[in-house]
This record gives sequence, structure tokens and C-alpha cells, in this order.
Amino acid sequence: MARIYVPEPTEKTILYVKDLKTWFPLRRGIIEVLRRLPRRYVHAVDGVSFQIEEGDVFGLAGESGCGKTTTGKTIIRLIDPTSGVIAYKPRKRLLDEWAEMGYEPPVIDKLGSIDLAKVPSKYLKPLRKEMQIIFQDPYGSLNPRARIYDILEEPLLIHGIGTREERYEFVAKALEAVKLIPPEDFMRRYPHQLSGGQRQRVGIARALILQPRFIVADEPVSMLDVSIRAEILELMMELKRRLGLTYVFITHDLALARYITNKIAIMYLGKIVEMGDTRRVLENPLHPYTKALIAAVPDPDPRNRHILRELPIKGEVPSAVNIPRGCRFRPRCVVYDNTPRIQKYCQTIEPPLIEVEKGHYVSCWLYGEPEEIIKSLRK
Amino acid sequence: MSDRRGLRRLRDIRGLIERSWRRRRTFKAGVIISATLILIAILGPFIAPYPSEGWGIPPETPRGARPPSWEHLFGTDASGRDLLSRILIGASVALLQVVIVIAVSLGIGLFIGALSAYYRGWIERILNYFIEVFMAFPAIIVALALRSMIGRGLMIVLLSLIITWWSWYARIAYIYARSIREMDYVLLAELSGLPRWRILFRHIIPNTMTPVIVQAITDTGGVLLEAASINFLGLGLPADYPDWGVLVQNGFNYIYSYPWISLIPGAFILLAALGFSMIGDTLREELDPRLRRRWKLWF
Repeated sequence: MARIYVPEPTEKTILYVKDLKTWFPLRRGIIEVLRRLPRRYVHAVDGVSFQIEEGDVFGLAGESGCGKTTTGKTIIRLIDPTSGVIAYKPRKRLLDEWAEMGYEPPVIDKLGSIDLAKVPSKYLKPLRKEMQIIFQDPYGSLNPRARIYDILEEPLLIHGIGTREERYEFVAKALEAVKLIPPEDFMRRYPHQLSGGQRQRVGIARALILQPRFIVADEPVSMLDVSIRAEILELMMELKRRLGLTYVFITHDLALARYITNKIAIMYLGKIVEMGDTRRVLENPLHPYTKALIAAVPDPDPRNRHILRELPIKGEVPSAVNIPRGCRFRPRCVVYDNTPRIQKYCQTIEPPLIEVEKGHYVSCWLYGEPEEIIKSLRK
Repeated sequence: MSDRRGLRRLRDIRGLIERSWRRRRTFKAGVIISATLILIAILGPFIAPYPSEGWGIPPETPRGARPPSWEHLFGTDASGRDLLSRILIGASVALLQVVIVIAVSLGIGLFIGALSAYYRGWIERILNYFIEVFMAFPAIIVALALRSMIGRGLMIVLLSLIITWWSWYARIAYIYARSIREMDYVLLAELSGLPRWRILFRHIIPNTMTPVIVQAITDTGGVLLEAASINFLGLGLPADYPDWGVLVQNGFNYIYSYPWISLIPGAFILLAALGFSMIGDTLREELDPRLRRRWKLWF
């Protein structure tokens, strides 16, 4: 019996997302306005569901433009979602602060989760103490004109935390936590006086200074030299253990995802095509796209360097404005060409995420009984 | 990545100046010329050989226009006043006009440009139209219009130049601020709830400043020439005031018979424009090495 994936939150679930969509409107040209053509959208995130348990490192992987960063930014409300549910289980601190502001948050389940998608932007400020982001580019995320101390103190000032001495203590502790020692020395410096790795540590310290528990890390090491990547990743994992953090780890590097994440969702063109425990997904990939991604990981054996590998994928990513009908991977799918049995489904109906083995979901007509799945879809 | 880091470091004006001083002879020459002129402007009234003549009072024994001699290094003008004294005393006014015009236009331009880029939406549109309208005005036309409103004087020079120059800085600031507003640190500040005007002053303007300041330094020469031409047309300072532009104007009637009366103050205007431009151009080239000339004349 095919089971279609829906998030099933438990006591341990910190965040779950249901059918999340983030579409960006395109500007309409004069002719389109005159002919009253409907507004067109970039479907950056196009119906995504997943859930994250406390202490997870949840990987979002896929090639560039697949919507992984947009998903990450949407779940912490850096970008407004178009539709869908972002359910987050708040700490008491957040609820207290909202109560103080006279705001009653929209509770959506028995566990007391709050639908962040419905929180108006003026009440988002307290949420920043719960959820933070680490950016990819350590050069663009620090103001080159501000000293490290000012950069780290800024969030504290904005949230009105502590006296001047206390804030100094907080900043010093945050710098120590990310191993920028001695902190007094680093506080006085400007970003250009730091290396890429040190800058990224400042980025992490900035994310941590408000003591959040949920962090979106948007390719935090992809712009760093390979030699310091491991250090930064280890630091992140150590902080996770010590502070009880939960990470969403956005990456395009499957080897890295395997090293650091415990669950992973593979995205293609705004949708999750495969999801499950990282080891299971990467050791036994089911979706043709995941297979192609894994085949694309370079072979470390130098004896094989002359072998031109043929990747099981064709063509280019289609535009996120005109998403292909049916399965969105179909135009690039090699399996589709060789499997006439499922072609009529691929052409017409978008495959849902179904459970193939325990905790391993895939969205492809190859698995399960298509008619049966369609029946349960209708229900 | 190292390339980007290099660019970022240059955005700092102090580092930029130090670097230019170390690496560029043109910059040194420009600094020496400008420093000498500024020194002249400060000391002028004290070292002028005939101070009262410098202020515009003719000598008691009229001597007419005389060519340069040991007694009068730069000669005398048609009323017999010592030209060297007039140039020395006029230097402070000539340079001060430039400094005021540049400083005020820079301040207004930087603020308006950054505001326009950062606030987006209708503010951006309206301010951009506004900027473009002001860019279209020539300073001399504005000066003519102002003359009928507030009458001749120094204010005309300052106002007409500020009205026409600020928009250029606003445009440059706007262009740079547009890229700054997309930086992640601006997003982070917004997301942590810092008020927008604080972000403008804390993140946007400081990072937009350097290229605009460099442009302003390059422009000092141009402003000096424009100010001189407004004074030359008789719209600005009074006719016996020793501003360099006015001095050129005074000699204009005698340009064939007594050429030095116009040419020597003109040479000072040229020298000042050259000095400031040399500083500005080298700074700009150091800021963006792609602008550097491939050819060399003698510097």
C-alpha cells in the first residue's frame, strides 16, 4: 500500500512544513497587460513538505536554482511564502515576548506549533532570537566598515539586551565560542583583517549571539578554502552538541551532506524528489535525479581520470517559470525514455512523495503501483 | 576570492590614500601642488608685498599697467595694482569657494543618492527624476537666474554650483548604493529589526562614500574653473575683488596689449585644477585599476 508523505509531527518535532510555495511574480510587459494575460511567476519553491526533529541536521541538496536557498530563507521568514504552512514549536521565551507585544500567535496543532507563515512581519522581531541564518558568502555578510565588536553587538542593541558591560561579555563569549581567541584582539579588528575562515566564524558568532536554537546554514563552507572547511564544520557540530541546536544545512555537495547531515531532501526545480535518512538516500538512491547527482560526484581514484563518464541525465534545467507538465524531471529523465510502462503517468500527473521503505520517500512513478497512488491522491 | 578582498580593502579612503602615496608619482606631485596652493591661501595676506593693493586699493602714485619686473614680479594691472599681491590675497577666496561647494554638494549628493537606492519604490523613482532634472542645468544659467533674484555676490557662486553639482554625486552614490543594498549584511540588519534610517547611516552610506569622495576630489579642478567663469562673467564677486576668476576678467580688455594681467591668474587657476585633478585621477585609478591609462606622457 503506497503511503503518500505528509508531515507527522511528534513531541520532538521542532519544525514542519506543509505544501510550502514561494513564487516570485515576473514583471508583465505592456503587451501582456493589454492582452490581460495572467501574471507569470518564478516557481522557486513549489509545494514542499518536510519535517525536522530537534537536534537534526537536515540537508537540503540539489543543483543551483533548484530552490534550496529560497526554501531555507522562507522557513525563517526572510522571504514571504506564497502559500503553505510553516509550523514551528516555539520556546516559552518567544511566546512570552509575543504576549508582551499583545500578539496572539496562530496555533495550528495539538502540540502548540505556530504557523509562521501567518505571522505578520511586524511581529517577526522576537522570532530572530529563535531562528538565525549563516550566509554562504563571508565577504558579503559582514559590513566592511564596522569592527567585529560592532557587528556582533548590533543584534543585542536592536533587541535591547543587557547593559554596556553585559553586551561586552556576550560578544566576548560568542567570539570564544567560535574559537576566535583572544576575543579582545578580534573585537577591534575590521572584517578585511580576517581570513575567510575567521570571517565565517564571525558569521556564526553573529548567528549565535541571540541564543537561537534553529539555524539555517546556507552553504556555509562552499566559499571557503578546502583546507578550512572541515574546521568550520567541526565547529558547527560542536556548537550543535553544546547548545542543543538544530540545523538546516543547505548544500550542493553530496559528499559534504553525507558527512554532516542525518536527514536529507533532494530538490529539483522547487520540489523535493527524494527524502529520507542521509545514509539510506545516498547509498540507495531511488530517484533518477538523485542517481544522476551521485554519479556526478568526482571519482577520487586518479587512475579513472581519463574515463569520460556518461551521466544518466540529459539536457538543461528548464526555467522555473514554465514548469513541465506531469513529472517535472521528465524532459531530462533517461529512465523515462527506456520505460514505456510509466510514460503516460509521467506525462500527465506530478508524482507525489511516497514511502518506498521506512523513512525513505521518493517522488517517481517507477515505484509503487501508479493506479493505486492516483487513487489515494484523489482521496 | 583574493581579488574581491583586494577591492574591498581599497574601499577604505585612508588605505587608498596611503597606497596611492606609496605607489604613484602623479599623486605625490598633485599633493605637492595642492598643498603649496593651500599654503599660499593661508599665508597670502601676510606675505603679499603690497597688501593694500592686493585688496583692491590703487597705489597713491598711479603707474599704469607694467610688465613683470623685480619690483612687481607678476607685473601690475591697468590701475597699477601689484598682481602678485592680488593673487596671494585672492587665493583664499578662490579655494574656499571650491571647498564649500564640494563639501556641501558631496553631503547632499551622498545622502540623496543613498536614500534613493535604499528606500526603493516611489522614493527611488521620484528622487531619480529629481536628480536627472538637476543634472540638466548648466551652472551659468542657474547663476543668471539667481542674479535676478538675490543680486550679485559670493552666494550666487556657491548656490549655483551646489545646485548643479550635487546631482552628479547623488547619481554616483545611487549607483554604488544599489549594489550595497543587496549585500547580506544589510539583509541581516533588516532582519534583526534595525530601523531603516539607521541602516542607511550605519551600513549603506559608509560603504558608498569612498568612490563619491574620490570623484569629488577629481572635480575640485572643474569647480574652480566654473567658479572662476561665473566670477569672470561678472555674476559673482564684485569687480575689484581679487578672486582669480575676477582677475582674469579684469585683464580681458587688455589681452592684446598687456597679456600678463589675464594670463598669470589664469595660470594659477590652471595649476590648482591640475593639482586637484592629479590627486583625484590617481585615487580613482587606484580604486579601480581597470581605469588606469596604458600610455604615459611624462608622468
